[in-house]
Amino acid sequence: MTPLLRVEALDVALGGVPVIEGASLTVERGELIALLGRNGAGKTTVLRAIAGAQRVAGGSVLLDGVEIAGRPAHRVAAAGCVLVLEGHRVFQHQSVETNLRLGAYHASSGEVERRLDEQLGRFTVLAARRRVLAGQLSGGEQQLLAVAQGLMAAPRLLLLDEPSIGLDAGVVGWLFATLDELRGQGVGLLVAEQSVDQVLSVADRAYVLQSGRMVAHRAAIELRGDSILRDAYLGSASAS
Amino acid sequence: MTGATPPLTDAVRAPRGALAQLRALRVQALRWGGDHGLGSAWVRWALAVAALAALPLLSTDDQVLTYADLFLIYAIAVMGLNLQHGLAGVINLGAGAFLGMGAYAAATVSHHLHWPMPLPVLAAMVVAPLFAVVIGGPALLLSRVHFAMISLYAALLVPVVVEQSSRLTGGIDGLTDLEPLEIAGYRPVGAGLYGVLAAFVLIAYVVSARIARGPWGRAFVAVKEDSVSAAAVGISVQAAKLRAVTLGAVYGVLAGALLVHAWPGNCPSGYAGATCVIAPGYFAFDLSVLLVAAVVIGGPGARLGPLVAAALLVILRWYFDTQNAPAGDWQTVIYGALLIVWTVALPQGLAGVGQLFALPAQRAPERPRGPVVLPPRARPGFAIAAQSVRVAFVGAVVLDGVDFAVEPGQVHAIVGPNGSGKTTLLNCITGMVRPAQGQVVIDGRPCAAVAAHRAHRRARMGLGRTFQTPRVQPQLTVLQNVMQGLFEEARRLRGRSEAGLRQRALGMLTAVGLESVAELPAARLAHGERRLLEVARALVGEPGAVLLDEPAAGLDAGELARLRELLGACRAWGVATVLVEHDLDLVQQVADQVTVLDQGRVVARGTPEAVRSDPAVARAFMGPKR
Repeated sequence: MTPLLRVEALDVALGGVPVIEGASLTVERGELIALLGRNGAGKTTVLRAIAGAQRVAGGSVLLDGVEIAGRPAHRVAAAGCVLVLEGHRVFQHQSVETNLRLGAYHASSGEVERRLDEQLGRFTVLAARRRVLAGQLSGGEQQLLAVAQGLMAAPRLLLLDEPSIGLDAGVVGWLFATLDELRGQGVGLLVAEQSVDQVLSVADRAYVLQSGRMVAHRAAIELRGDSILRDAYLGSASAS
Repeated sequence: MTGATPPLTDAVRAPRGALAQLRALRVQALRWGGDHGLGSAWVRWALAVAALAALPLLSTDDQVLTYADLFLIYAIAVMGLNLQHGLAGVINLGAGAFLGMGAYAAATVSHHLHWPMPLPVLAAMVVAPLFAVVIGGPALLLSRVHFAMISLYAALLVPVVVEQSSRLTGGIDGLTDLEPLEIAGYRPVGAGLYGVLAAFVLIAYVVSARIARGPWGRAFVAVKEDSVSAAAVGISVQAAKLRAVTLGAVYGVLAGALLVHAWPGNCPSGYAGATCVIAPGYFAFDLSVLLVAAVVIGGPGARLGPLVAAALLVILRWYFDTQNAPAGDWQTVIYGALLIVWTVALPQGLAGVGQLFALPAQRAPERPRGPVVLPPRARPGFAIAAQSVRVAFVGAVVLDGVDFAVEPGQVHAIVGPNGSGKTTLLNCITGMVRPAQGQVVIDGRPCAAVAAHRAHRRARMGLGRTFQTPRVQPQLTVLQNVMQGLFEEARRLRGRSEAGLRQRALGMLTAVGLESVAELPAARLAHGERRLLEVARALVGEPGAVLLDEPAAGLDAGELARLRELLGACRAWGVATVLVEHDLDLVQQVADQVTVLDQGRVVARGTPEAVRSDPAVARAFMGPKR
């Protein structure tokens, strides 16, 4: 069976300088994959390249066997691959509810209502503040809104960039439990995260990026306490 | 080094593709030039002056010289507009209005008061700031769009006002007996006039380059890129914009006065002994379009691009004039079309073409780091406090009678669940939110007064801060971003010892561990790095107190260790540190005091150990909400 997402030998260049070189990864349906690495290693760039928000210089990105590399972001999103960026990028001057509705831009109106009820039922903090402008929410609440907005598109594949930023410990635990639940529903998840222990405790597998290359791919359980993580994070590269 | 990671060799990083080859060639050429002494400023200056001087030698044709003079005059106006539009991001659609006002100011002084030359031109330049304040003052308080609209009106209105005030301006017929430009008894004509105008251009260029490089140039860019963080380092957004508009107005007025009093095309009866004329039609809207087109086509903010574009547009006009085409109408259409095509194809203008061939900056290899060292500070830290602060947004109470204080040399952490009011408390202290009740005391001074509530004033008192979502200026390099944090000092030094300030900024970048990316545009940083960049910007100006909003969020393990060490160093440094943070382990390790907020109220306060065992805290974090 074709995997939900297969990234093959992905190259990304910024102004002619390669920043991602030959990165490959797969995400199956109902799988939660962690993307780890130091800041600046290229995690966000990989996610953006998959989602069509960043031009790809080489390699292929197959969503359910269909090539999506080079497609514009809105078409990748319409195909069911949704990216939730870090830094709570929500529409600041629109209400929580409008933000959520915009997340289901491609759905029929009945479907929008159904999904709205579903997400408001899930994110009760947002349900209590559905008429409030997003800009008036606290930073953590905006982060949750961004995730909920991503889920409104009913994605097959959800790409999350640092979802735990700005969330208090209790909410982080709850969020990862929610991701676990989505995995149970068959959604594929690719999560870039600095809270390594937190994400490895729920992930199936993990990839480690270092200076734009994939340096490791392990089962999440194996990776915990593995020296490659320490090397990738604490910069053994400085020895070279 | 693990086996899975081969070292990054040159072969791997070698540029690919034709464009990359060109870039490599250019780098080689630059290196060659540098090795052979061509890179020095003197050589470049000599080349520029030679190029300007060569033109009248190439052709003695009066017509060529006339258009060359026109280019020089436009060049001055374009430099002024570039200060407004390119640096400060103030969109001025009516640059022609400033030329018109300058021209008429000089002409009326000359015609009615009979002041000898060059006094009328100087008088026009002296009143230029008045024009800037009249047109820009109210509009700049609002927004970019408002200024663009008002300047557009000004461009349309100036010819009409001139026509209506016929006693002063000669109305639609204009004034015909104006004295041509004369400097200390010398009336320049022909190549001499070209030389005088070229000298004006060189002076204007040097002045604008100095402004761009200095503290105000940085302030203009800061205001353009992110006005919130500009205010946080002490830049008054309105003052910076008004200053940029005023400077641009002085340039525009000078250009306008020269256009009327010096341009041969405008002093029709030959050169010597001639008089000049002025009429409202000279400053119609298409002049404004031409000037904006030059800046946009050349590349807003670039130094040379807009001047090259101005030259191209003048050549275009020359072509139309000599073809006897109905130039007036078609020119505007062509400028408009050029503008559209250009902005789509080359958003960074001619300057962007140059950048295509430049090698983008890269991350320097990281070196092993020493311990965090903060430079010795000249001023002691100070205490800050919030007293019974209450804040309500549209009915909802966000802070309800919160007391908070931190002493110099202390790290005071604020923790609490999402939405408990932590960031709002920081915003109260930094002046971004005004409390409905209560007051903020900074360095022993209560800041309830209206004058002291604005964010840039608090920053000037020595209050540094970072933001929950990092606010950096993406187009500027990391080092330039940190330099913004030294605005207050740079302003006091008036552009002196810039090199020293640069060294201090580099030192602070080393302290936070970002020295290897100093020359990268901030847009290229990962978000954890942006946080550390913000911390460096907040600390570099030696603040008395610093407020950090979730500095650890998104940091990787190495960066987190660096931050922990940095916070320890801050304590020894004597700065009062407020730390809003979700990472409770970090709080435990570095904080002297912890305040726990829940739903806008203080529910616990004390040492990290005491707070951790407080049942009220457990309720706040694990309460019935979830």
